[in-house]
Amino acid sequence: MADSPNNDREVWITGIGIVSSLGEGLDAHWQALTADNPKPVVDEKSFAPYPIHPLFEIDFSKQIPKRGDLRQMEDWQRIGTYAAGLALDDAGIKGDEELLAKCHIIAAAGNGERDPEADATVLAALKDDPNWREKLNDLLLTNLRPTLYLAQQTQLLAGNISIVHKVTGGSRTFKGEEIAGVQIVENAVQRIQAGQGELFLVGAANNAARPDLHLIRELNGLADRSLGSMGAFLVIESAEHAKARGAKPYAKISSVAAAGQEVMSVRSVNDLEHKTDWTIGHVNAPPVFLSGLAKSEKTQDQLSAINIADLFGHGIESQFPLGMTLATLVCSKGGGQIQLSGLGRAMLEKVKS
Amino acid sequence: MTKTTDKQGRPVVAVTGMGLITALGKGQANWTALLEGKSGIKPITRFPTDQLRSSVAATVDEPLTRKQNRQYEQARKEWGTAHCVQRTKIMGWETAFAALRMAGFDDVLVERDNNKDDIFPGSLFIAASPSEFEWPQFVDISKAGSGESMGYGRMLDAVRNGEKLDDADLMLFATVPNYLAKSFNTQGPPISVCTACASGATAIGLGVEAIRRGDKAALCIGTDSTVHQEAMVRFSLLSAVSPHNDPPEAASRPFDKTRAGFVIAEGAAALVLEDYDAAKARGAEILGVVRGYGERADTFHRTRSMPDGSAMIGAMENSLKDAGVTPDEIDHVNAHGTSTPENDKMEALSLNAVFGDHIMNVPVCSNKGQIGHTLLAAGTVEAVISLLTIKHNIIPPNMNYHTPDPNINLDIVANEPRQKNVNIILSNSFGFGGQNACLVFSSGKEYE
Repeated sequence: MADSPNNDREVWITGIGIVSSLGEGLDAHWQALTADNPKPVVDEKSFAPYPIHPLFEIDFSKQIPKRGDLRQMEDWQRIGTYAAGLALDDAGIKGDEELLAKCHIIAAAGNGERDPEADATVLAALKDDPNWREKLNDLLLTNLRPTLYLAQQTQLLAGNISIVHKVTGGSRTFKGEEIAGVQIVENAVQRIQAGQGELFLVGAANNAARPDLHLIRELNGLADRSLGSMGAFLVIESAEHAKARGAKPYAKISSVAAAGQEVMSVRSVNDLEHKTDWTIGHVNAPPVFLSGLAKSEKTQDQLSAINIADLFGHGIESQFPLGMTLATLVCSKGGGQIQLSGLGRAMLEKVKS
Repeated sequence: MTKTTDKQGRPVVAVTGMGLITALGKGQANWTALLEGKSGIKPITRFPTDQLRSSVAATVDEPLTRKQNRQYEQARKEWGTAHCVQRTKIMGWETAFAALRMAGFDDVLVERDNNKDDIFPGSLFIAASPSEFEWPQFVDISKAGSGESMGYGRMLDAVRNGEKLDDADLMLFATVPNYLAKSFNTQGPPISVCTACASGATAIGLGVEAIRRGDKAALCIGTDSTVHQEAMVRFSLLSAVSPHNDPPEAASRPFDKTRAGFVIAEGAAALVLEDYDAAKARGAEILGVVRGYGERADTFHRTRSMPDGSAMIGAMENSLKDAGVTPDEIDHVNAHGTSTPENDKMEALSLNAVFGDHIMNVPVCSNKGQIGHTLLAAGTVEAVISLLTIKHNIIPPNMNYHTPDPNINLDIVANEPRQKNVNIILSNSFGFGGQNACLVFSSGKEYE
């Protein structure tokens, strides 16, 4: 496969894996989106005053059968590995060693969970001691689980997907909060268009039920957006590759681009907030099936739209991948052109058969 | 003019600028110290090391910086106690500055608060250490809280009541990449990549792919400072770091039978990659060529590789294939060689599988005996060292190699540098979580 800059090839989405506060899988999400009055599921109490959109109860062992694997992950990895498994199943490549060997993972992630109880124990023991640094090694060696670090490393969502689902092409993880979620899709599309790869598993996961994340967001003035637990993965491949293996497309990606760096100043809270407010909308006429969706005031060029964060909470790295899975679903059911806009922009179209 | 392409008809990726900082110093001084067999590894003095398996590190202690402003004056003063991500950011800036200057992109180096005209003709691809809390921050926030209970509830209360953290934005992963992208006016949002200890190599791989897709240039940075108390504890708990603390310079022993772990290190490197013809057209000196990049994910274990080496072998073979070279064309391997029992054994086994009988004609060295393991930056740091090796036709020594391991069948460049005409190098990087990435570099003479 010679990669050349002039080789623009069609890019299809052939697999979707979603878990969120509203359920698991495509049907559950379609029903949630098209309900007369879609309601978010919010837990106001557990992390008050921070409401979260908790993960729908799922049995992780359905996608992660080995107990040893489950034990060595924390929830963000379990959620992501689960959603990745759903996407691979949906694309019909789960267990197909030949295809998995050329499937490249591009995940988006930050750090995994810390252990809040261990941190509290250590802080209690250090309390008021001016020489706290002298005690810290001993306290950490006693209180940190040896495997905890494996749950915290950024690359170990992708790493766990390789281990559990045997995806062995390449494995890359992009960092940088919201923008990373756009860049993983953009990078996969660019590489497919240039012939630098045929088959990609792309996505991210977020666990909202973690106080360390709330602390990071509060410190940066970002805590007024409720976090949502979610995992969203897509199988993206060249149309040629999909046709050759008889895979059906949900949609083709006609364009995807991350916004420029000038809008990314993390110090500019208002800016960031605005830009993470991703919406899905139809570019053309409003099809009937979208009529029941939550209306967002921020849609100027869109006749009806879903504000993803209103319904699912904010998923940081996962927000754009979640938007992509939902937009793909809407596109496959209804057709037309579906636009996803926010810190990045994507356009999806139904593939004409 | 016909476009210069490689054997597969793709644009050729030239290196036109390099910057390097390790515990051995900066740039040329760093290279000289490497050849002299000097060690950058020393006892950690930034925090207590009692009970830690490893109490040494290859820290960058020279408070760098060319930049003269308040923020950097502060950094200079507080270098040893700064948040690690702050050091990561500054080392990344320094090496990128050096690389861009070497490449002749002086226009993007002017301090430009208002002038946004001078744009680097490519994107930034960066491997940088994770943005994370360090204990001084927890302790500070916690102190500002009230009541008996300890933990996140108390810290969150304190922050809601107005407690601030100077470096709060360093907790966000976008901060360092955005800062560097803005500093050098690179195009579009920067891509920040993590493939664990292969990250530096992957950042270069992303740049190579971008140029092959038609981009004119790419700025690739690897920068890491993870020398903080909790990081040392984590690696101690995983038994990944060397317990040989005395003398510090003998702590890291790549490929030696007595090796028992890596030594954590700080460092950074940057490369300016350019489309070969674009570089020639602006009269830039070609320092070398990135011939190929290859990767392969492992499925075996979070910290160990497939016992048959298949993933490491796959990554090396993919990089050779991408480069269009056969194993017998490789003159030298700059190994990952972390000095852990597992890595060095598996890397040697995999090299033997890829090279066959030819392996004994290929001198192998790991730089980590001297500069330690710069973690996410290692692939970029070792890329610069590989290109310097090609330039000078001299291979730096693999230090602390005294007791051969019968399981390791390699021609190690033991303890003394070795003169050799080196035209093509394979550079390996392997990380936790089955991350394997390999690069092939050449002098670029084949395209003249």
